[in-house]
Parts: sequence; C-alpha cells; structure tokens
Amino acid sequence: MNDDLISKKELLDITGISYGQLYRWKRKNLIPEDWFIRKSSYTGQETFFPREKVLARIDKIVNMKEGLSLDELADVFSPSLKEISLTGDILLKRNIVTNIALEIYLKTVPHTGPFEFEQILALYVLEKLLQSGNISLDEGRLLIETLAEHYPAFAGKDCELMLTRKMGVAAFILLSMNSEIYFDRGVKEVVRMSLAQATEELKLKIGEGGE
Amino acid sequence: MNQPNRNLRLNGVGKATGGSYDNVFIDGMGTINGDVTCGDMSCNGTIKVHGQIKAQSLTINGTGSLNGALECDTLRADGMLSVAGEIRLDSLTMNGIAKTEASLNGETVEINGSLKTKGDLQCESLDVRGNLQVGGLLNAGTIFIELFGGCRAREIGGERIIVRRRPEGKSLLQLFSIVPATKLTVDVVEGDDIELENTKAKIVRGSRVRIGPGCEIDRVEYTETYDADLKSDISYAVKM
Repeated sequence: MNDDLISKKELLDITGISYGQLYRWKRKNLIPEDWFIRKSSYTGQETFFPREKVLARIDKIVNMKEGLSLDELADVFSPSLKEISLTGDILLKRNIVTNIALEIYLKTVPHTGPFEFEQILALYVLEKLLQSGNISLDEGRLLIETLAEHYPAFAGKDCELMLTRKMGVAAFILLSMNSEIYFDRGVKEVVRMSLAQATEELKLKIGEGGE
Repeated sequence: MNQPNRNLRLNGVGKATGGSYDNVFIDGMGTINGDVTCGDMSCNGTIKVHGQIKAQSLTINGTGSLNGALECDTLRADGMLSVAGEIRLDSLTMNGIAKTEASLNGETVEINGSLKTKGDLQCESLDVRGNLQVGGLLNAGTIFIELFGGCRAREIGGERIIVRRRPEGKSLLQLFSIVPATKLTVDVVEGDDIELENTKAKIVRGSRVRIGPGCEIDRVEYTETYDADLKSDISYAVKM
C-alpha cells in the first residue's frame, strides 16, 4: 500500500478526533473533497487521505479553532480569493511586503489605488521569493507578469508555481496541482510552491494584522 | 431599466422565457425556457423549467421539474419535485417525492415522503420520515430517519445518527406487501452517536453504538459503549 496515504481509521487514531468531527469538517470544506480517496480493501470500500497534507491540515484546524469559528476557518483554507483590498501603505506597514517588492510590482504593472487580494497575493509571492534569494529583481518582474496574466485562469483552484533555470535563463511555470512534469537534464528546478498554501499564509497574515 | 415591478405571472397554460424577475407566480401549467433568477417563486400546478433556478424562496404545490441546478434559501414542496442538477439550499421541507440526479447540499432538510439523490446528500440536520435513497455519501450533523420501505445509502457519516423503523401499525399497503420490507441498506455507517434499527450494514464505526432490533451487521467497531438487541445479527463487534 502506498506510504503517502493514510487510512481514515489510522488518521482518527493519530489525531484523536472523532468521526463526527471529520464529517463536520468535510461539510464545512475544511478538508477538501478531493483528499477523500476511495479505495477498495478487504472490508469493501475504505477512505484514504494524503498523509502529510491531511495531518498538517488537522493540526492547524485543531490549533486554530479556539480563536476562529469553523466558517472563518473555511475561509482561511479555501483557495478562492477573499474579497479584500488594501492600499500599498497598509501592506508596507503590516510588513506583508517590503518596499522593494512593491516597487518592482508598480514598475511592471501600472497600478493606482488599493490592491485586490489577487494582486496582494502576487506581491506576497514575489516578496517571499525575493527574501529567499532565489530570484533576481528582473525575474521578479517576470513573475508578476506571469501571475497577472495566467493565475486568474485557475479560478479558485489550487495550482503550483514553478521556477526553472537553464543556463541562467529563468522561466516561470504555473501548473495545476499534482501534475507531473519532467525536464531535460540541463534544467534546474529552483522553486516549486503551492499557491493555495501561499494564499492560506497570506490570509492568516492579513487576519492577524487586522485585529 | 429600473422597472419597479417585474413579476412573472402565468395563469392557465403558458410559456415564458427565463430571466431575472422580482417574483414569479405560476397557477396552472407553466413552462419556462431559460435560467430564472428571482425573489419568491410560487407554483401551483405543474411547472417545468428548462434551465436553472436561483431564488430566495420557492414554493411548489403540485409537480415541478427542472433540468438544471436549483439554488434557493428556502424550498417547500408539496407534491413532486425532480431536479436534474445540483440542489443547494438553506432549508428544505418536502411533503411528497423529491429527486435529484446530482447532489443535495443544505442546512436543514426535512422530508415526509421520499428523497432520492444520485450523488451525495450533505446538510447539518436531516429529518426523514419515509423513504431515502442516496447514491453517494450521506453526511449530516444530526440524522434522523424513520424508515419506510427499502432505504439505501452508500455511506452515512455524521455526529448523531438515528435510524428507527416506523411504529408498528398495519397499513393496507403492507398487508398486501406491495412495499418492500422496511430496511436500510448501507455499506458503512460512521459517527459519534449511532442508534440503528432495521439496518443492514457492512461496517458500523462509532464512539457510542447502539444496535436495536432487526439489524444485520458484519462488523461493529466502537470506542466507548456498545450495546445490541438480541433480535439483531451482528457477526463481529470490537472495541478499538
């Protein structure tokens, strides 16, 4: 049996939650539908989950449900973008982005007024990658263009952002979740990150500063 | 463009196109071609919609059929309702027969009569007196089912699950055995508090499990308490 999967029973044993809780979280979309993987076993059908993802998610839910209601939690985890807009000043003040990232963004895309969530997400991703030292300022510009142009196509679905380099030339790739991709030997995969995860982090960050 | 009153009213036999209305009234036989968005919709008689409905409240007396999705806050139907697409609502009260080819998502669902979904049924509280057929997963906070006839679900999950048979009383139908035996057939039942009667299941898993009379269960797994009626067949029960 696949090591990356965890059966429902084992999951409940490890986390100590009950069937009722698990089903309730599923109803509230705290645990996405496509993590419920049905497979046949000796007792008929059994449900399995992607081990790491579901354990991390349940850990978060358990830790956060003290402060937030289940519906608020569902908002945090949903990959769709919140209706939110913040001005550049607020973003700077709350340390969500730094001046450098903001400048690159404004140079790449003409923009006035407050930022929509989608744009803040692009800024946040840019900030993260700049901080990690994985991309240069020019590549940052490329990133912003890519996100602005293609991220809306994924409309609420999870997708991955990938940065590859070959002989020093960078290329950004947006791909749907869990798709496999292979390169020739000269290509180096520099960054691979889930945008849903970035969305989650960002929502938490915005939420924290707002209180 | 801002007309004060844009109601759709059909009396007798009539046809209308879809669109956005304030309120929709149909008395008699009405057909709507296209998607409808409206506040209140009330139908007496027969209504057929070729498209989907998005309404605040929908009341049907008689027959309703819809070949798209249905989305509304409250739905009350007395008679028959068949929907081809997904149903999404806050509260559903049904006296009669409701059917959907897809799944049903709601907050409170109350059925007197029969409900059949090809897909999943998901809500916070489910109260069924009558027949229930769920092709997929039945997931609800509290589930109360008073069985009539042969009920089916692939899986049932929730916090509190109660399945009862109807209180004894010989109805004419049962006397002539037109109705199949009162029984719920399900693969897996999982929940915190489970009380079952007249249920045939492969696996029942829960914290507090109580098996009443008339059950046939292959395997019971429980964590806290378990108790079973002598009139039931349970092949195997383990405390986890």
